[in-house]
Amino acid sequence: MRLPVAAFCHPERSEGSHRRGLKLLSILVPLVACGCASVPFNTQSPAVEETLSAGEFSTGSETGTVRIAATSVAAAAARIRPVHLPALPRQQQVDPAGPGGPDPAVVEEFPDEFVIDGGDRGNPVHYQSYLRYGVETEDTIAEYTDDEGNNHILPSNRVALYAPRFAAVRTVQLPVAGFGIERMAASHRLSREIRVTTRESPQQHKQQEGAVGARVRSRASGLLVDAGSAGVSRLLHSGEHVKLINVFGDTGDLVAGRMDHADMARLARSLENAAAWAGDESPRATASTAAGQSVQSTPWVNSYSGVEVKHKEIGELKIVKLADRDSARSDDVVLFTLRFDNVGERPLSQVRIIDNLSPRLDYIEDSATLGFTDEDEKTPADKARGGRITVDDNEQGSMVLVFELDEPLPGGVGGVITFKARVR
Amino acid sequence: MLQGFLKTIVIRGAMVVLVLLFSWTVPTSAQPPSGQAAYSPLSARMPPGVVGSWSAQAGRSGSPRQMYFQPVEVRLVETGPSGGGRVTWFAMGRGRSGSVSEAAPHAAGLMVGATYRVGISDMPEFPGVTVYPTIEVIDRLHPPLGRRYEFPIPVELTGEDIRLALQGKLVTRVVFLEEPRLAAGNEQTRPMMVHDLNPRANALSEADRVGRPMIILRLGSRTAPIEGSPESVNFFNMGRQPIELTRPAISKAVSRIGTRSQRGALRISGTASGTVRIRSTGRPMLQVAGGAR
Repeated sequence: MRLPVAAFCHPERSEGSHRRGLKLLSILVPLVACGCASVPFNTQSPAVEETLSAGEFSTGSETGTVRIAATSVAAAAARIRPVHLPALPRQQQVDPAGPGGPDPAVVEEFPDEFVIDGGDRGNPVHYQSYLRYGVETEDTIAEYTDDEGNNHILPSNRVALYAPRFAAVRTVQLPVAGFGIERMAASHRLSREIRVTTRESPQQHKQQEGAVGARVRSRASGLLVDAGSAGVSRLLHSGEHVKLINVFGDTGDLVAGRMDHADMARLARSLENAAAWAGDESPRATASTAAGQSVQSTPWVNSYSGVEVKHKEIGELKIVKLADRDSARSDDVVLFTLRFDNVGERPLSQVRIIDNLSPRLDYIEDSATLGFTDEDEKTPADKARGGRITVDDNEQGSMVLVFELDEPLPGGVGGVITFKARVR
Repeated sequence: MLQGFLKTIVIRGAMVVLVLLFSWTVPTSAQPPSGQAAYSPLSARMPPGVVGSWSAQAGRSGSPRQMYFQPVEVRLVETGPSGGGRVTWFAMGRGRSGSVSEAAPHAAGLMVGATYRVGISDMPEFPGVTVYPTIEVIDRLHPPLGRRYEFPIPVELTGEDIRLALQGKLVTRVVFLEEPRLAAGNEQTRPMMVHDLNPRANALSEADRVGRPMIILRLGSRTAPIEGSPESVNFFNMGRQPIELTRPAISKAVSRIGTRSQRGALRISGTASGTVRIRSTGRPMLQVAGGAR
């Protein structure tokens, strides 16, 4: 109780001040309680991603936004099974439409016929106050930090599988019995036979037809008409008509102004006529001045010396998502491939790929593999790079996968992550 | 004195502000309405063909408007030891003589916006029973080119549906395409996932809420009229729409129809893709866009 009081009453004040503070507190506490109860706070937590702890995930069930730990999840994550890749060409460009697959226009117009994974639909992924927003189902993004300390987010392309799935709603009706019972029973006979024919017709009409007390005054007795007009007079002609014929005071029209305007108008018309008549010939006057110049130069022999400094390009990640088929049925297993490359020359750190699967996809456990383009069969096991995967429920009926590399990704090096998912 | 008076004024002013802050509530008019369903002019309780005609006028068959045969596969579930039974397609209003019967499950191309009568018979669980549901096609799919019959719209009839129909009830199924983002991770079940609604509910609007309605199936206990009667034409004809049949079915249809010698016989035409169309020579020929999506 001391703390709220201290906000309104200083401890060194007098006794009266203490009492005033307590009185104020006794008034405010019920007000606060009632006021809080009446304010319609939104009880649903916002779709916010929060750094919780290592390997901890949570999701907002309404929007499908996923909260993912931003710190290392090495303690809780499982290692991705390493594989050795054949020599792969360095990836330079990414086709935004995605490699192959169904017609993007059809996917865009009828997305409900496809199972889509990848891209960044809906609310774009972004950071705000160290929180990540907008990782919804179907989204696949990569995030990394370059060697200058800048964080980046990169969505992958979108992969669409043609896999329509159907369900049905059913109603069972008894059409004959229901219709007959409800419409036939009560209303028609009661309203028409009793009220209309029996009670209303004979009594009310005959008594009101005869006029009893009507009187008609047929002629007027005291009407006087004043037929003649006594004092009407009309003034048929005007008594005085003064018309000013001669303009004595209007001297403005006679001065040179009006004449000047007329002259200019005629001159303008003449110019237009001249332009029209001379249109075919298009006369032009061209004048030029030819000037000769002489340039004299004296060659100087000079020598330069220096050291060429090569500036390495900053690291930049490219990511492509692929599927091994363009259509699927229920229970089919689809192999997804995530190809990532550092197309710059400087390393990238904290590389992480987040794949929030569609509810139609079920991740097959322990199916993820990881390989790097600069390693082969001869790479010693202790020098081979690795990564970890974290799988958690996204509370949308599917999983969210987080692939995280153990070490920074050097420039010019890429890798391939594969995993399998079953189509529901 | 004046200082104490000012303090009193400040404290009382702060109290008034706090009272106003905590007693303020959001006006109800600013809150969005919740729980109010949108009005739907169409219903699955409408006579067969009404919803289909609306969808045809709305251009559901494609843009620009085209005649599109959407493959529809009829499946029988729990109607026998192996889910057996036969499906009879009635083509172009020729009654039983123009029909093609195949073992279920079987798919045929039905025109978007049209309503068809099919016969379900030879079910081991229901010996001697034949029911004649109607199938109203109100939308289409857009599969990869040349792979239409790999992704037909399934229409499932279960043994429970048959029993309800034989009890005199009208079973209405609205088959809809699920919205994948609203699928909630449900596994695909066989038989198809079915949600039973209140009989007064509008099944079409409910299906539209959770997906895209594709087929309206109506199943009752109505028996087929006598062959050759005027009622039989309307019963089997259902709008006199063409039908697209696959190759195994058409071989039997050709052998059967080829023996007929009456006027207005059906004309059979096939394509290299294995689809065959049955058309009557007694009415104007229909231009069919074969193979197009």
